[in-house]
Amino acid sequence: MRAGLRRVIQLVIVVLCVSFFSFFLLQLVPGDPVTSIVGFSSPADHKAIAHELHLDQPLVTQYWHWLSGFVHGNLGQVYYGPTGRGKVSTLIGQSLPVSLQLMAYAMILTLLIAIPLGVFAAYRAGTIFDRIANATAFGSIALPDFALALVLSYWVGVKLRWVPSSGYTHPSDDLVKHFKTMVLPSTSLAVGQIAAYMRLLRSDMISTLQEDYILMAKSKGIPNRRVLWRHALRPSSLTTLTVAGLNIGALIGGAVVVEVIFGIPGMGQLLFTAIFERQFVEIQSIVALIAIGYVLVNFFIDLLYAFVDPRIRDARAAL
Amino acid sequence: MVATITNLTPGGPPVVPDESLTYVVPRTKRIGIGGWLAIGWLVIMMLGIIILPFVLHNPSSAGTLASKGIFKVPGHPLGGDGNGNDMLLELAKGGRNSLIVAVGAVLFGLIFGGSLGLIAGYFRGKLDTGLTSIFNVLLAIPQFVLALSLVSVLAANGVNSQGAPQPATFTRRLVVLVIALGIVSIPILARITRANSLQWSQREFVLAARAQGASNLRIMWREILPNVAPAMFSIALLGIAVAMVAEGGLSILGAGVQGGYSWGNIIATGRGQFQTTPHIVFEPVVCIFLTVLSINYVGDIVRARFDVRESTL
Amino acid sequence: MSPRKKERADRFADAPLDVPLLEVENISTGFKTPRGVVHAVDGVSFSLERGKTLGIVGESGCGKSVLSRSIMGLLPNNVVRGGSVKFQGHELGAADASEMRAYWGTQMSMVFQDPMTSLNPVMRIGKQITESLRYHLDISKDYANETALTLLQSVGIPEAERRLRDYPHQLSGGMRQRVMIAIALACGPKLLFADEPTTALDVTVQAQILDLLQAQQRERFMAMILVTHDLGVVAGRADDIAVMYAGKIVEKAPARTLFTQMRHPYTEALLKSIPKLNLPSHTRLESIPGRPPDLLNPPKGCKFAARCPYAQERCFQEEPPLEDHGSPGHEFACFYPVGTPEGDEAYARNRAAGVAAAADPTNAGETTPTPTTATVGETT
Repeated sequence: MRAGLRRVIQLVIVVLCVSFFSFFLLQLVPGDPVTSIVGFSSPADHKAIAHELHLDQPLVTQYWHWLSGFVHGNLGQVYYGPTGRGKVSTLIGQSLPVSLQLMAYAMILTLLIAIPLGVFAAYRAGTIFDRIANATAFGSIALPDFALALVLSYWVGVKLRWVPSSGYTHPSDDLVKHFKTMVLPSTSLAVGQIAAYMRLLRSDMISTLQEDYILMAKSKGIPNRRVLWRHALRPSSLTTLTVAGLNIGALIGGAVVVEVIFGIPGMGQLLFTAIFERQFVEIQSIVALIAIGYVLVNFFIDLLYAFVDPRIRDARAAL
Repeated sequence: MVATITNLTPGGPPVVPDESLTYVVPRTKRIGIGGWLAIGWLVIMMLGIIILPFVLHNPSSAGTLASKGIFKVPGHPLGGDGNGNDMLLELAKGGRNSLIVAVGAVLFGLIFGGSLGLIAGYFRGKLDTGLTSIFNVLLAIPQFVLALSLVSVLAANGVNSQGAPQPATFTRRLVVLVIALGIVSIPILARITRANSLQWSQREFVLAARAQGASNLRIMWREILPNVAPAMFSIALLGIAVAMVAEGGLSILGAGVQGGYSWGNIIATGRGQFQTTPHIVFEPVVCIFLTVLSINYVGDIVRARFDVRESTL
Repeated sequence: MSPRKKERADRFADAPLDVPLLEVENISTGFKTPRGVVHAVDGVSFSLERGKTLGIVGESGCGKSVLSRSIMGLLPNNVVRGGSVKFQGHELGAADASEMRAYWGTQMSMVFQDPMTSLNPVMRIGKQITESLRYHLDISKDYANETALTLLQSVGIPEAERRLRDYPHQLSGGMRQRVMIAIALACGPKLLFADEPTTALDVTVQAQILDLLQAQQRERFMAMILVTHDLGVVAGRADDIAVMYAGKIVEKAPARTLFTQMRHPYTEALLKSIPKLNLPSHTRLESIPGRPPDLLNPPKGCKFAARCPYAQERCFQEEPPLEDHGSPGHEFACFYPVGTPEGDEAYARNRAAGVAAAADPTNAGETTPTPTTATVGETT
């Protein structure tokens, strides 16, 4: 349990550091932050807003205010001119589910395709299938998400008109149309991921298949398919799991651009608009939210590690 | 060691039967066709970037080329952009900036991240722990989001006293891009340098140098760095590819080298007329793709050549 | 019972007792490599009855492990196979993996050398046992678990119920090997291959494991092939012993006969190399000089000739056949066997000349250092 406690403490520290970084972004803005955000405003308004943002107080106090507000769900405000306001939390509340949908679809697609591909490529290592799969994966990794998004958007969306090339429909409005709008974005994100995971799984699996216990399983008379999936897959997934964290980071980055290209109103689109409108307070909250989410995902993957490999579970418990 | 005679695949790699039979696997360090193609593209690209801006000229009247597609206008095979500029020329100019950003960012990362990693691996102890924690925090934020946030605040369009937006200068944006992407690449480069530095610092020739009274700085510079450098070379190559893609993504989001050319920027501006003149978007996309592909390929070959031990991140 | 299982059951019903359980005739196995074919097993023949134990002894690289896997059919795809293997009268030689799978586990199974790496590290022990039970026999999960429990108890694992849910890394080396034996025996095979079952274990545990194997064999009336490099392992436990060298059997005899009336010089050298307790300390160990031959390009004639103190010119030209030379049940492949007049003459001739025929440059074969004195160091 001591190891578990230490991990949680580490988690909290990292979350705090990351949140501080997000908070600190505002300080990096050149010139006067209030003017940058709001534009022209009367001296009175200027002072009021500066006070609202606690800019007249020492840095640590500012951070404290920001953090406590954040924890209580007050994610700041967007400023339309000196008097217009809007709540960031509302905007995020609308965009976050959309982004989560996009990434979830991409991940599901990735796992459904990458795992069988990787297993089969390892099983048939050296054959034409394997070579083609490898070459395709190599090319796919070199193709940026946004490039594929643009290509798909043009050829499938505009030329072939199979699905809309941009836009978003809420699932509660029209489920079929919802999926149609999400197909291309999810695919754009998934292809790069599939290539990365497939290669890793394949190489891990090839070395697992050389292990003695695979020969042992075979000698029990168990069919190859069962040996592959029941005996070889689980030990081979460790390396894949290790890089899953990094890959999800790439997924998030890709999602931001893909959302903008396809006009999906998710966090990426929100960030894009915020940058354009110089809504730095909003940017702070969005970045903080994304970063903290990412930290939690990594933490969860770490836990998963022990679940997949019981040796690690025991080694950790012994610490 | 037990004989591992198992192979569920037909025609799989020959497997060593147990005990004393040794079988040598030939290491292919040859540059195959793919390798030459990759090198070829990179060379052509570099030459194009350097030479073409001097050789090519835009047609005097904008109307000749404006929005014309591929092979539509004689003498300008790649067509023109919305303003009537020759696409090939645009690509050449854009390539220059894209490269500057990508190479600059990696250099930045190598210099700062590399030295930090070198120091961390050499001195170990508390310094190492401290530095590693910083790296971990930086790595805890998704790379692209980190870069985006840094660029968006540092190169923010200034606002003059009347409240009208005043875009940051081209140079400023360029510098900010290099720094932002550089900062993002620091933790990864530092980690790899650190792992290598750790290994090399344990070797006896380092101890020997110390025994001869060499200062720490001298040891790091003369003994450890030359050994770590080959490993970093292939990583640096791959980093350039990643940075180039990142620049493309940032430009699409409006956080790139606005006001100047870069492949990403051409894509960004071309997106407006995507449906009518897709070539404006696709030509830089193809350039980026080919460049990244070639760099990956060459990077792989370089890695195999130097037999670099990959440190797991 | 499904038709597939019925067909299998018919095929594997107990064969008549006048047919040996296993008949191996002139099998050979070669591995295709870019440098050529490596002849790991080169013409091996023997037969084995139910309830009997055959020990196969030889040094590293002699092909004994490959032999047992060849008979079972557990080889990769880049092999060249020849000869015939008959199990209960059925020819197995041409069968591919999918046909052999019907035999694996139920008719013949193998206990592997290294229990650490031969058990799946992420699968519970119980599952690894019940897996083959449930696949081959149509039994329920509960019954399979009960059977697994009984199996673990019968191989002498204490607290068997707890162990069912354990992972391999939680067990000691000896216990892991017992688990391996339990897995191998789960479906009641008629033939058990034990491939160096004790090499990876402590000496104290070795005897226990070998006793266990012997006991199980008697109980189940199994045939067992015990492969090892250690003569001590087969000494009290095998009915017949076959000595292998460079892919061939060079001598085969009932155990006692082998130890008391060995005929092949290699067997003699093996026995001589065992240090004896009654010798004074610092006695030089006797080892066999030289190295095993290159299996890629095997030399002409007898493969042991280059290292043999009895070798004559004939040995480098002709390969001696494996024959019983008049004593039934005892076969050996040598022109100048130990303990015979021809052999003694040959030996004396070599000693007089000061060198074995091996050092004579006119003889082709492996170059080896002149074996005039026993040298310490080179171990088998």
